[in-house]
Amino acid sequence: MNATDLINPKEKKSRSVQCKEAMAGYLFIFPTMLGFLIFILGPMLAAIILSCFSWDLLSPQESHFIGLTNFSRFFSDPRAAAVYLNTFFFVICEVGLFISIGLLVAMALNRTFHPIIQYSIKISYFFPYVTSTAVAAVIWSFLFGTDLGAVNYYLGLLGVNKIPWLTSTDWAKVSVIIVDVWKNIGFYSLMFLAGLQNIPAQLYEAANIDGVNGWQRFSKITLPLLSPTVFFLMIIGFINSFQIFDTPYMLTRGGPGDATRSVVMYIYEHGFSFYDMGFASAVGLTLFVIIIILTIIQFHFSKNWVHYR
Amino acid sequence: MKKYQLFLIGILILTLILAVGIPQTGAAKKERLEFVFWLTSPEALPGWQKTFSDFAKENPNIELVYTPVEADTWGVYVDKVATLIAGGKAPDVMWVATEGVRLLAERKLARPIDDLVKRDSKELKEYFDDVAPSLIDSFKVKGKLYQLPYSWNNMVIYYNPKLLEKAGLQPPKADWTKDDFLNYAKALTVVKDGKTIQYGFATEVGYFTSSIPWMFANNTNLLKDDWTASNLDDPKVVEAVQFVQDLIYKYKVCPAPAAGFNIFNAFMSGNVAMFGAGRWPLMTFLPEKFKDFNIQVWPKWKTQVTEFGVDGFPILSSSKNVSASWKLVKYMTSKSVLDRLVGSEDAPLGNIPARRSLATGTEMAKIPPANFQAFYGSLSNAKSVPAPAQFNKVESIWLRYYGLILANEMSAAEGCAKAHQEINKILGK
Repeated sequence: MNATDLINPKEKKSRSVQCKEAMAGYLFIFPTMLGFLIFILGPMLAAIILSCFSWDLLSPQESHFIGLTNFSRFFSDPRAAAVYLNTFFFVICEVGLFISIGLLVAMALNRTFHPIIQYSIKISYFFPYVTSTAVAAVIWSFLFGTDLGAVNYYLGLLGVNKIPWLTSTDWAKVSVIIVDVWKNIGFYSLMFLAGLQNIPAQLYEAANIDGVNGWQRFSKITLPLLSPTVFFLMIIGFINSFQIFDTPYMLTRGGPGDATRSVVMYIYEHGFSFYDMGFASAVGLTLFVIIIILTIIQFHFSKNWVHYR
Repeated sequence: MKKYQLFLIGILILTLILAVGIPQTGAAKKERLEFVFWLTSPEALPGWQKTFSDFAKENPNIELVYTPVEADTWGVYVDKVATLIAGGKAPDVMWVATEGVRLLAERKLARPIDDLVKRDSKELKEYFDDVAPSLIDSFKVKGKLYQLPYSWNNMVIYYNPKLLEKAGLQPPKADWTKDDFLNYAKALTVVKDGKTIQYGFATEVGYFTSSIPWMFANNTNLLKDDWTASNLDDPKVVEAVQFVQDLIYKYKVCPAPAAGFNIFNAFMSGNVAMFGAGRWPLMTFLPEKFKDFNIQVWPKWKTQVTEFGVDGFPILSSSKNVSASWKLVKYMTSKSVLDRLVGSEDAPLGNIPARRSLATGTEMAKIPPANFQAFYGSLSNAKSVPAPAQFNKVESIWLRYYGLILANEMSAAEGCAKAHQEINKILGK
């Protein structure tokens, strides 16, 4: 008889079972972890390393270490401020519109309609979200034509002068925001609708008994209980809007000039058109840091207004 | 052993088999050749596949593996191929236009073919006799030839004869001038109830398609003749760009171009009477059974020099199958293959065959436009589109400022001056 025999046989058996169960668990998460390592962590580490190299896509054998030169080059590029200002403008406008319009649409959908009407409205709001951006941009570029577009035609009937939607540096930004909000509002309204439907009806019933008005119902019940959803959508909205690419690329190609060029378009231009992967990686890192900082700030201030039940 | 453990082991073995592959024995080893080309439209694929299958029949020892790359422009196509090359999947042969030749040559990614041309000079004599020297010279970099011309395009003015007739205008003659062009554009612009319902001309924010043709006509160029420095400080360049801006805002004969504006659709619907392009609009017009168009050479200003761009098939330096690659290149420039480039009314193609006999032949005459001779005829007084090794950067810089000029947010002089500084910095001047 040895020491191991003195161990409780039930405990000994459960350690073996635990080991097997852990093994099974690791095997099941292995494909996802492999995907994470190959497609997320690996490229992130590669970007960090590449950002310190002069790395040409066509001649990688001539790459060499240059330290922080790519970063100093970016910060001294007059276009850097322009693309970041454009991106911040898109973020602030789009997130504001996503939250406000998304909530309004969700609240309208949350009313009691005939199921067919409700499903029809939901589909029409969500349909743009599943439409290809390229297709949407082609159609909107027709609609936004200054001289031959439908939007200016109908505005003309209302006595409004032709608006240079895609050929003015100011209006081109507005056009990008309109198309991007149109395309994504379905997702936000659906998330808000789910959040609204999670609010217990008894709270509204109690409020009705107490004689509260519509605004009080909204500000004291709906909004506080919807705050986790608002917070989640703000985080998602900020992250996605900072990475805006397909809408301005397809609609305006970043023009006129750099008027609608976002940071990601700038990264793409330098990485894949100019083959300067090191520089593009450095710019990508700056975007990553900014998004992280803003997300941390949002999480920090969320304690003041997000109420989890 | 538990069932799930057996299942996981089975998956692992299957993965290993698929990764390693089952070796084939007994079959003769073919020479594998990888070819990448720009698929301009899905409709063009059957034509390419026919060409490849005919090549395979003539060369049973060569296994041709082709990769079509879809892209809007040559620039986007080259970007995608660059990604392939960077990923270690460089093809043996690829389709490259003027815009990419110097890039490949100066980075030693493409292999000069002078030795191969010299070796097969007898076989290639009829080819060189049938191709305009200017097309061949455009593929020489520092005296070395990198590819044989396959197809090309120039810039001509498309016009709608019915709209001209309605405006009481005769079709323009080959020696028409820039002032004639402007008069035509004014006469063809129709304003009704304060709204322009028909524009005399339409253009886009384009390097090849919009700015360079007017610069050439004004006897100047975006870059110096050797493409090593910007020429945007030349007053004639500013004059040419100012003219395009004036077409939109002073004479109001042209709509302000936007990224998504489809000139071809506007032309087919009668909203635009003239525009500039190469042969490629045929791929839009003819499938729609639209034939109300003809062409004329670019109007004369200080000169009547035509802009052209050519394409061909360089053999990449990394290719280990130079012999098979060269066979493919010669095959692709043979009469039988280039003959297909003429296309037909039912299956039109957008490039002009490099061979004179085909581009001016009877088959070409069967397809609109009626004045098809304007394509090859203009080569006697033509210049290549300026395309240095840094073409992507030069084009990007120019189009940023040209876009602002055509949006009337910057004067032609200021735009040219700013672009001049940036382009010279890129070119190391």
